[in-house]
Amino acid sequence: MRTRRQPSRPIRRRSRTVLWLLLMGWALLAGGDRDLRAQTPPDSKAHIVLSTVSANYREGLLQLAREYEQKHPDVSVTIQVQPVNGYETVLRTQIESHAAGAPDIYNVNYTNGYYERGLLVNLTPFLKERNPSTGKPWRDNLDAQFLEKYKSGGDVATIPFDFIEVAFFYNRRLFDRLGLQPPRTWEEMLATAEKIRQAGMIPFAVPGDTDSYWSGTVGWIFRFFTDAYLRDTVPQVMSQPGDWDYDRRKNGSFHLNVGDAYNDATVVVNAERLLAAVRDHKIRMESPRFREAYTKIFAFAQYWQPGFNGTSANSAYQLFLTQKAAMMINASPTIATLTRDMDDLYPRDRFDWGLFPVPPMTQSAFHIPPFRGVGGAGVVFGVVKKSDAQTRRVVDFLMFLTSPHAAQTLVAEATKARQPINGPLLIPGAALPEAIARRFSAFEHRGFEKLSFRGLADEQESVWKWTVWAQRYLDGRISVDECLAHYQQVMDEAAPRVAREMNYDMDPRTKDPPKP
Amino acid sequence: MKWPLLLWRHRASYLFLLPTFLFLAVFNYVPALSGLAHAFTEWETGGTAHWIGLGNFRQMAGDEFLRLSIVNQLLLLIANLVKTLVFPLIAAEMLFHLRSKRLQYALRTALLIPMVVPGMVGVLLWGFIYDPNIGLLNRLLTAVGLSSLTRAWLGDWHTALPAVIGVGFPWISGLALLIYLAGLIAMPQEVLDSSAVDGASGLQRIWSVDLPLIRGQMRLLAALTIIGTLQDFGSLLVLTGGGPGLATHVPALHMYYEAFRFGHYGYASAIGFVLFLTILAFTVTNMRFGRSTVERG
Repeated sequence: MRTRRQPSRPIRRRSRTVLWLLLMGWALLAGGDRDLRAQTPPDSKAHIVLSTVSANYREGLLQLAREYEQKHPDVSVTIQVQPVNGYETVLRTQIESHAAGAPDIYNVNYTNGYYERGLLVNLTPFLKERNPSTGKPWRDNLDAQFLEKYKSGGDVATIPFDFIEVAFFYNRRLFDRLGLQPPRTWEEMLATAEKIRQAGMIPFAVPGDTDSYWSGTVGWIFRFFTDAYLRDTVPQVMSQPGDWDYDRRKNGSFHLNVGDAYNDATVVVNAERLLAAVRDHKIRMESPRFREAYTKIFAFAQYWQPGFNGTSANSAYQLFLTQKAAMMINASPTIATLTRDMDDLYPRDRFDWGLFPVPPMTQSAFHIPPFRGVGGAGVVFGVVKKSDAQTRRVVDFLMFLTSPHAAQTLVAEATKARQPINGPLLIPGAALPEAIARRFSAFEHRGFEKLSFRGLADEQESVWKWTVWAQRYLDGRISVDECLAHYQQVMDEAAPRVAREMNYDMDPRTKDPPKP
Repeated sequence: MKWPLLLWRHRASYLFLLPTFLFLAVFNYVPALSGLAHAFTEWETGGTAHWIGLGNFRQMAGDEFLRLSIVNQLLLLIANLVKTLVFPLIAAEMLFHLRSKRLQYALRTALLIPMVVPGMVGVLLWGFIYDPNIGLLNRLLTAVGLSSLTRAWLGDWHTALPAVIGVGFPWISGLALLIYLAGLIAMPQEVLDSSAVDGASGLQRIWSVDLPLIRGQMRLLAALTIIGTLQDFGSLLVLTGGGPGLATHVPALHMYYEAFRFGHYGYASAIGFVLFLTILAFTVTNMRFGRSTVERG
């Protein structure tokens, strides 16, 4: 025993020494960190942190931050441009834990339900206050309709800055060569597509992977179709007198007018009434309206490139850019991307292109109004609830940020940096450069979807199951009736599941607390 | 000597070992055991888990999407076994029989270098190769006058699963090649000499001598392939998302969707539990019945 222990002593001693050194190093590092923080001189300036995923506005935001700091020497502004991937997790971690570095302003569309949970500032009282940057009430420099659209329980907690919309992009050079004009109706568009096909080209480049059915092109198509076919359903599901969310100003005077694209823009739909309508088959997938809508989409899909279900968004875009496809549906930020990519092509490969809005359908067994927009606000800012003094400070900065001057700075800097502009601005008085404004006209004045279906709302299980059947249907593997029967089953299963997940008691008169 | 005294005497060594086992327990064993326990609960996003006994397993029995995915899984498993057991073996035999050791070394290095490329990069590259519009495969077919064969490989219901199986062609995995080569090199020279004296042809020697002697390696590779195939969903998620329709959907991907897309953690745990049992059953069967006569003695 003795002989075995003797040689191991130095080794053990060395091990012990290493262990102690590690522990001491760790302690020194930890302590050192505390010391450094303590030695940092207290900053007399107040801090505002803006966190955003809008990297396209990075340069403009930095410039505006510097400008604001010059006007307010007692304030420092930090702009954090975050990657989309993981943004929500970072926000939820920082804001819910009231972390010291939590942002004051951020893209609030990444944290649904935060206002209801008391984490965001109610901005309604500030709207009538004078905006020091314009000298007018703040409300005057904001888009009234979008403020209404994004209200939470009657309060304004989000300030939309711009909006994203979709439209058709077309190859003008090819249209001219074939003697074609941008179509004015859906039927004209399909006739145009037929001529393009006969000329040996792909009429439409459409991505059809699962992402596209959920949040991309195919999803948009199903949404603007079902919105148009369900316009007359809005009165059945909107809040009624006695409902917890009934707003007499919005719903009391509502009369359905499908000829007006904005007719139901501010109408409040009661989520429990909507869910009940699905559950009780008042909104039925196996209805003649859905059947016609799906049949029309199938007919449209016959002009998409072969194998669209295996095509990613980038691949579809490349089809258009390389002039293999004559048209594509895409969102407004694509204008800048396409302009930039066109400049990067060899001169012989460049082509003139144009835009036209989704054209209205004229042939239907039903009275179908023109298709409406399926986009939404691009940049939507909200203010995190902190101290009253900080709220006052941050709102002042947000007022500055939503002034026409600031909006134009953001656009100018983005253009200079060859970054895309999301879409039309929602800051009255802020003008876009003429060339950009002309491009955006195809995206404007079309109204916004109210009731649209691909799955049940955004509930992921129903969206995915719907995607499975919709892909099979558009692939020609099942009939429209089989597809809708499966979809009906998906909805029948989803309605009680959504009610359970949202903690709805299915009584529209009571406001249900979030699930504990 | 009593074990507390031994423990105290060698405390520095145990202290060094402690973090490893602590992290192993916290990040491997606890989540796995927690998953097994949660298989018997209803556990949704943001909620607490409630014991529901065999409820999740009853739901699995009626899950049409899961049932359809099992067929894909079996086809993928068979294909992957063939890809792992056959093609690297052919390459290893060819390398082993090269007379020039220098050439053997060079070719072996060439076959192993792709191992440094992360697997997901390879999958993404194959996604580009299969792209219906700008992909290499369709362009190649068009260039050689076979444009009638071009298609959306991953978007066509008929070709999606075969295309997924085709990923990694010519399927010479570096790890499998190394294991086979090690087995072939370890074969006793006298056995090889005896087969030569008996006048065995190359194929006869492979069939009667090599294969029985490297059965242990084949069993190991089969076990690794079974485990890898049943667990893997990352490549399918990236390539097809399980589509079009359910053409490439597999149970592991279903488990992922249920947990991280639909928030049904309890049900996903139950699928994971069944996958664990399936992998265990396959592996035990493979170890038990794949044992060579040489090993049995």
